[in-house]
Amino acid sequence: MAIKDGVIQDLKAIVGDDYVVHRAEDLIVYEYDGSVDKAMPAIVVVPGSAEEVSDVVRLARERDIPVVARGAGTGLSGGAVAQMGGIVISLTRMTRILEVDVENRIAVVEPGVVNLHLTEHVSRHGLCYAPDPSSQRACTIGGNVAENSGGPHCLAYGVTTNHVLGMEVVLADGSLRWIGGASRELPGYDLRGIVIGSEGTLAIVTKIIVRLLRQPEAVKTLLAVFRELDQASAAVSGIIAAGVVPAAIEMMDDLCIQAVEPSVNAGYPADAGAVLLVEIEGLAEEVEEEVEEIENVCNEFDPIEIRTATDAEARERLWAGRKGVLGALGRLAPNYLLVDGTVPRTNLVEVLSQIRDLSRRSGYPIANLLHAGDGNLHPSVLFDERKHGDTENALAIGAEILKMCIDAGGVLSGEHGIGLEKQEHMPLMFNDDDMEAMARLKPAFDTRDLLNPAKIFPTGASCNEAAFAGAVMRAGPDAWI
Amino acid sequence: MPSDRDAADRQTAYAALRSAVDAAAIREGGPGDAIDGAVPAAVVSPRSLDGLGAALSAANGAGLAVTPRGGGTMLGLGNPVKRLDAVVDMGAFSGVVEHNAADLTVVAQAGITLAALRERLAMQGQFLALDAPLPHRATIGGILASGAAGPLRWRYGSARDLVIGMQVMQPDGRLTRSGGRVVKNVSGYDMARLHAGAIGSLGIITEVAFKLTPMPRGETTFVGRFASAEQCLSAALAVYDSDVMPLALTAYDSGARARLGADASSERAYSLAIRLGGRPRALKRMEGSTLFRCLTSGGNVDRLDGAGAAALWEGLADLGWGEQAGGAAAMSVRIATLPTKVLDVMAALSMTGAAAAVTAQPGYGTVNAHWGCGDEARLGEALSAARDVARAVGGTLTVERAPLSLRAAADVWGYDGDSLDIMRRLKAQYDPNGVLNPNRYAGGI
Repeated sequence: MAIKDGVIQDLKAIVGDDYVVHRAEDLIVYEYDGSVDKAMPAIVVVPGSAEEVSDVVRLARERDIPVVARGAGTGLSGGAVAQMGGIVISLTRMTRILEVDVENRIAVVEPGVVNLHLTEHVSRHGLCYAPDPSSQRACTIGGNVAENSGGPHCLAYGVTTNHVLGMEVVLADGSLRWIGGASRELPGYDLRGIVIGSEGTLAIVTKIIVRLLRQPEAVKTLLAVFRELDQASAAVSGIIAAGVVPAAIEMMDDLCIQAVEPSVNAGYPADAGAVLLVEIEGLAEEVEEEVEEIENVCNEFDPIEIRTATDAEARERLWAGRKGVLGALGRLAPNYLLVDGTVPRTNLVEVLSQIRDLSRRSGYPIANLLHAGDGNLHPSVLFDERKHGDTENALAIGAEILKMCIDAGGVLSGEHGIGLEKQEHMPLMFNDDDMEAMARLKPAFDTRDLLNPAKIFPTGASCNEAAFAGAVMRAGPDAWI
Repeated sequence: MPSDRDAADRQTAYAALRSAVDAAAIREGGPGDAIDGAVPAAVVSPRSLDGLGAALSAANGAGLAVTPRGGGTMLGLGNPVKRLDAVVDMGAFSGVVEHNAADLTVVAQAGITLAALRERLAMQGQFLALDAPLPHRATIGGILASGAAGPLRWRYGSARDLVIGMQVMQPDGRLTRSGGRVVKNVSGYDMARLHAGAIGSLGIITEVAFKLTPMPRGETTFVGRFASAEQCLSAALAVYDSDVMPLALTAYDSGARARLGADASSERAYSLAIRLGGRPRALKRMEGSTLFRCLTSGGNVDRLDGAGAAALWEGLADLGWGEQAGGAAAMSVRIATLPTKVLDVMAALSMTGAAAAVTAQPGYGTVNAHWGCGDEARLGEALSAARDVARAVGGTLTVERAPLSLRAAADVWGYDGDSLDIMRRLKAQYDPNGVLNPNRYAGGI
């Protein structure tokens, strides 16, 4: 989309000369996010305050230019990609923690605050911010709000929407509002709950009031190794059915183990078919009692071994294998397609066995990494994009896995969002009336469809597989989901 | 205000609905169906979703005003009714669609009562962490639509925090779904949030999927009694700041204590009920720690188990809503404020007279107050005093129930934000003909 020169001058007048990026070579880093969808914005602005964001949006509206808000760009579904070009508003300068109210256990932060920085900042008061997406060292609270991010520990504590009380937002008309507030259960439609998870399509968040939790007294990590994947997934169902809700239950299969063991030396036995990692938090006595119960459940499924750890360093060693998996998949294949779906936890065994059959049938290895306690699967289809037809085949397999999840009573995305990646898959889960009802939210917030346009809903313009191409990733050393 | 529509209008409204639904599913409205004195022309009790869709679509086409009704416990919430052509009774939708016990999820129809759903779940050792008032009458659809909540909100949040999926009938008769039956899901907009607390003004909730909580292995309740609000607050905050995470933490005043059937004449004016739950060893430690904190704050402490504890928590949830406290001249409000402000609010509300009874969630930030003196003038004074109290701490007061004359003169919702324009546009998007509960929501939406 062509942007007239005057716009650049006007934007510089709002945010300052140093904070408008418009040369092609500088714009390239804003072309993509954690997905591989790409689209070049015409201009990137880096405002320093809510008022500047408001002025930029107002200007964009006057000139009918689309606007995409961007945090750290770690999203995996193309949410921060400027699909229709236009202006990208990068919120990375707005990184202040404005207030920590220890007594009321709330904090007011700007959207560019990095998730982990908030927890580090409040830990001196014995508090923490619960949502902990795997990218928490880089991802921002504003981006977390847009995607309603979770994390391994959301099993016990819930996702972002359960931890955000209020937000200052800029609407598409440039107006600044507060939705929600510092108190719970405020009257009026829950605009806060609607905007959280709307993938930047309804409003741009400029301040966020989050609730903080007390750090748990005790934490214990348990690692159980099984011969068969089925045994591990049955143990997960068993733990949930026994009425134990740990802080996190993570799982990985034999392919993940083979990939990660040489680099991390986690000490997994050679005949391990699956590893389960369970974290329990709470009162010391509570943790001990729950660990005993979890061990009992695991023992019903003939584990090769069970290890536990309480101090931070030893726990970190147990987690090391789990955290190194995605980075290590590159040992097995040049490329992987990371799929994100959720199924009822009672259907894990069935869906994982279907995925195994699919792998056998298609000849493509599929490595399974799971936030198993939530039923959230991350199968990775291993392939080589240099081989003719491999990418297309991997995409078709990914689509088939999503269909399996939905047929098993599950959903399209557990935590990565729809964005560009899955917009053409929405009809798998929702009928036209469902989607039409969702789409009606948009004009109530953004009458001209200028905020992050062409996301979430099917465009009909591209075939399913092309839209899904956004999920194709190369293994990076630090990646873990 | 009695309906001023003439007989012909009522007949037209009835005929429009009658043509859309089975004869068995519709009857003429009577005085018993009146809301705020307005008697509906028709009461429609659809037996199926198709029937519900047909009725709504007919109402939508004819521009009729419809109020959905579950258990009818919260019909006093909202601005006074100005137009009412039909009540849609959701009583037939009272089934459990799917209880996946091993997955800790349940899908239920909106018309099931909270008590019936709880009973089903308890058979498998599970519970829905929701204790809204009058569970034998209140339906889950009504609870969600009205935002009703009880003491368990302290640990688990309000009803909307437990929802993982929702099915909604739109005013044009289209049935729509959002969310799912899994506990982690970001597929599409979170539409359930739109309808939670919206008193059915944007669509009628027909089915809800919830995540469940395992039943605590053991439970103990302590009740500390304190001479002053300061002592009560100090005990509450000491528990809040400890490693103990109660299931519920509710403070209440002597008026509330009297309504619970306890002796209110004692000099110990403020009580703190603490509900603890967990496995045996953990529970023992929680008990010791909690007891210590109550005693060192100057409280007298009683321990309740089993039936005694259950009765107290039920009483606290129902407080002010029971039949004996009802009648025309009763008033209930809820105040949302900062977690540490609630005791100030409670102490000030206790002084408003008119037989006030106040409960509060220290550390969470909600206060519920009830007045039952039967005298409208005194209730009016109490309401304006309560507003001043809320305003002084930056809180928000919503009237949940009050005599019509008071509601007509008051801003019952107390919405003090700047986004009524967005809410109006949402109403225009989802209910363009103003069929569902017209004028009753915040800002006259």
